[in-house]
Amino acid sequence: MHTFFSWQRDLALGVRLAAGGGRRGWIRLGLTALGIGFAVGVLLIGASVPTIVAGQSARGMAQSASTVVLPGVDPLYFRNSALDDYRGVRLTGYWVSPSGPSSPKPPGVDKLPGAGEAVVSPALADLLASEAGAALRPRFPNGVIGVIADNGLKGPAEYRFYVGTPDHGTIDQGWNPVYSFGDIDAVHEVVPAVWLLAVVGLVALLFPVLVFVSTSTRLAGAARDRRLAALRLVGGSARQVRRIATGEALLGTVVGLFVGAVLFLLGRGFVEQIDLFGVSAFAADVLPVPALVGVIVVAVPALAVVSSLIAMRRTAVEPLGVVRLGRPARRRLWWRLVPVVIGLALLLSQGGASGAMRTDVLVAGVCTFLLGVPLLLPWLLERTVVHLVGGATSWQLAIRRMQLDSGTPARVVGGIAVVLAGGIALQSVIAGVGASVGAPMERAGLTGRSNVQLADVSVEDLEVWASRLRGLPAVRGVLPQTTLQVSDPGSGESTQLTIASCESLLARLPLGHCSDGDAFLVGSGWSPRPGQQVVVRSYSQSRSTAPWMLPISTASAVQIGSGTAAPQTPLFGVLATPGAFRGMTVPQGDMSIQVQLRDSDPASADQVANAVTALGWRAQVDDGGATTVSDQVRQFRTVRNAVLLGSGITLLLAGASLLVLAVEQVRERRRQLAVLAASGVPVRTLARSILWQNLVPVLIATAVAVLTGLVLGAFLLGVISRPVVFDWAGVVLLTSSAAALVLGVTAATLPTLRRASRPVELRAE
Amino acid sequence: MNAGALITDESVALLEAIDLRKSFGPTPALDGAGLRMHAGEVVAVMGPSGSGKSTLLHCLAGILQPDSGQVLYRGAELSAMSDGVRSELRRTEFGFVFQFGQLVPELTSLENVALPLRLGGMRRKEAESRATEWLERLEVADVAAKRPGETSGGQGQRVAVARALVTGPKVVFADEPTGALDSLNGERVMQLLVAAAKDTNAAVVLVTHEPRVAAYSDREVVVRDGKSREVELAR
Repeated sequence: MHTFFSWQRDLALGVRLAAGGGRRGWIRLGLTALGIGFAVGVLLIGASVPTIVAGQSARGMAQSASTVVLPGVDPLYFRNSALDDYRGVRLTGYWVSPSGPSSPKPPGVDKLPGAGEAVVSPALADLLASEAGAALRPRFPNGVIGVIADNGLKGPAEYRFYVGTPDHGTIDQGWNPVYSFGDIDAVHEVVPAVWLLAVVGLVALLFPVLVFVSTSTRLAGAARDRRLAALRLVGGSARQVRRIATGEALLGTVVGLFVGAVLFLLGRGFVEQIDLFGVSAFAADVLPVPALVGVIVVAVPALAVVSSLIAMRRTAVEPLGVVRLGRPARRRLWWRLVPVVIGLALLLSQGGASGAMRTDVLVAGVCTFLLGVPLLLPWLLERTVVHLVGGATSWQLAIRRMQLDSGTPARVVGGIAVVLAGGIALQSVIAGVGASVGAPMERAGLTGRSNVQLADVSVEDLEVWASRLRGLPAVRGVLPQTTLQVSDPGSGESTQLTIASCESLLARLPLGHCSDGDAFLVGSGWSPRPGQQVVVRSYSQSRSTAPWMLPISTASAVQIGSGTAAPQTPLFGVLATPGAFRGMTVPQGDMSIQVQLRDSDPASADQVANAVTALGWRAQVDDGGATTVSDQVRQFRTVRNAVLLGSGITLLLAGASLLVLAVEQVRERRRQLAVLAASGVPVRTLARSILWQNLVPVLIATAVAVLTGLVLGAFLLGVISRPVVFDWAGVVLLTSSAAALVLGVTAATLPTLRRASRPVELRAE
Repeated sequence: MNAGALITDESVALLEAIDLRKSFGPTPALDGAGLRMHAGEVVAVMGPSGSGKSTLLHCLAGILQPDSGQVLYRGAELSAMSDGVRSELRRTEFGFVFQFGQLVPELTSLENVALPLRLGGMRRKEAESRATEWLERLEVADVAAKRPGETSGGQGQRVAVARALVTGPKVVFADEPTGALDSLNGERVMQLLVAAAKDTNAAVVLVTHEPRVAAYSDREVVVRDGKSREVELAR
């Protein structure tokens, strides 16, 4: 019981000391709490990632349509809309056609839209209501009758819509009977490379945060040491002083936890406004996992206390430790290398030829390896600065200061070094994984052409619509065509048959001469001989066939020559003019109109798309603007972008931490600075001295970070058996960002420096 | 061993240093220094800067461990005591006054004076009540609620003296206690320190290089090049 009360009393005294000291004490406490608060805020976001991912997965699952027949349910006919891109905004839309009153409704939809009506997500509703969405509004001719509720969306920035249609097509035309939504089998597998990137990204971004926590607790370390030494002199035992120091560290950390929670809650309010490359999250989904919150609440104060106790070990043992500062003992290297070796050993044990990969071992390996970075820095900085001599006054002041105490600046830049090392490792993993996942297809960009695919329309209709499109101001020319298949009835070999007018064919290929009734053979591979009997069939309706004899006059043509315009889809196989089928019924083919626009303005492409709106689902317009990437590539891109954004945020956090520590260092040395200024040392010399004190450690930290980052990246790529590829541009970008950060921090320190070097700071009482 | 297991025989020296040697790296600070003092005695340790007088005081107080030689407090060797026992000695038997007071800047004057009592486990009310008595005795009760940064140098030193004496120590170690004060304030601090020490029969080890301050002592020891020598006083 006595021990308990001793603890209580000493901790309370520590809290009293942390909160005391008037304005300066409060500023110190505030800075510590802010530093820890930032870190805790980021940790809480990290702790919310599993909930966000689970939320996205559950919402994705709820959106999935199931075609498993349910008795008594009228199926909802369901088809993807071709409208998947509007001026760079990714859209997800569906045509829906209920077959009865019990047709299922997609999640978040109260009432199924009638013919031409639409139900849209709030983001799309906003876009449609805005000036920017003016050209999109005609695609929903009967207006928006409802808004999709949150439970029907993956995120608040999802542009989703359902458009009603009175009729529907066949399965071959992309229509499916849907009996329910919420297909549990629709879970998308995350590929190991993407998983590795996500895990390593999270670790590499969150680990530096812990370094910031430990540096934040060392704010005003010299003043704290003097204070605790005074306690030792009046009879405080080493144990008591440790407890008092624990109390001091705890107050800053506890306040920091609250600050972090407040920052997290404030940030959570803005989360719905963030559209991370097409992925967004509802604030309701951004909830830290309770177990991880528990870990943060325990680990952050524990880390703060431990690092605080380690920092004061000399003072605790020797009451005059800060009164008589002898030359500090030389740092040893061997134990600083231990985490690096253990980390590499753990990474080596994973993946490779065996293919085994345990996430926990991987995380431990990355953490242990990265831990080596801040441990190596003080040793390296000490060994470097001891050899630096001479130079200008500012340089001399900076170097002598670092020779006296290289630990503080090394700790200050430790966080930046870990961010850089983690960032560079991630860049390498991204480069290596990206090379094998497949280069993500970028948005093709508008090409000045549109391709209108028509389904379920007659040949006459094709000509009518081609004529309408030709009349649009933005259109230079139209090339209607019908695509079918011809095959050898004996061998079954087949190729494509394109039926188009001579005008269309001549516009696309250098055929020389063409008149109605002609046919041509283009390209390599199998093709029928002139005069051969073949079977013509539709691609989409394979049962509809007709026999046809290739005209004797069929000529060969060059596949893609110097036609006036290269086609979006190359022509090959058999090309025939309508006259070649005189007297026979040609099966319904896939019809399309290649539209040549006068320019590549998005408004021109919109004109074409809006002109065929009346055809409903039967017209699909592709203006080359939509991306066609696989789920795997999409996952990879999202994780890559999130990781790069995270690196930027963590680097900024490191900068904020560096700034707080740099300002505090200036404040702590204000008397010495005032003495220097009073002795005639210009403030700009002092400013340069501070720049060197920031820059030299950062340069060393950058060198260590580049080396360790590349090594870690190479090992991680080895874990997933990918080729070692380094993203040198990314390395340069990250390192130059760090250099810019140092310059920015030094500039931000100047006002404090000016105040600190005023003669008034010489006052002793 | 604890602080309570000390010899109380009056014939035994209260504090005795025998042949102390102490170096900081290659620099010798003490080279065979010695000192012997009894209860209630005020001994001035004099010498030029860098002579080793402060090091001698730190060794006598058990703050520094000598490289060789002995420091006996009431017959018990300090270097044989654990850190905990030496801390207890500093809290209960010793008091300290330094040139800049060495007060804790975050605490008020009252809290600073009460600090050794609180560290010893005394309840706040009682500790502060005793601290108030000492602040009154040292004529600085008016700055009880002020922090060290808000008081004058003389007031701060008097608060430091109050803190040194509040536990009723047997020895007060004063290292240049008036070094940062003007002569008027320095005189007043010395008068109060010595008077209070005499009242409580506490011995005072007074490190100074000022003859004016040393004049408050019963005898003087001069330290030069790490060696000590007793000086005959002609008072």
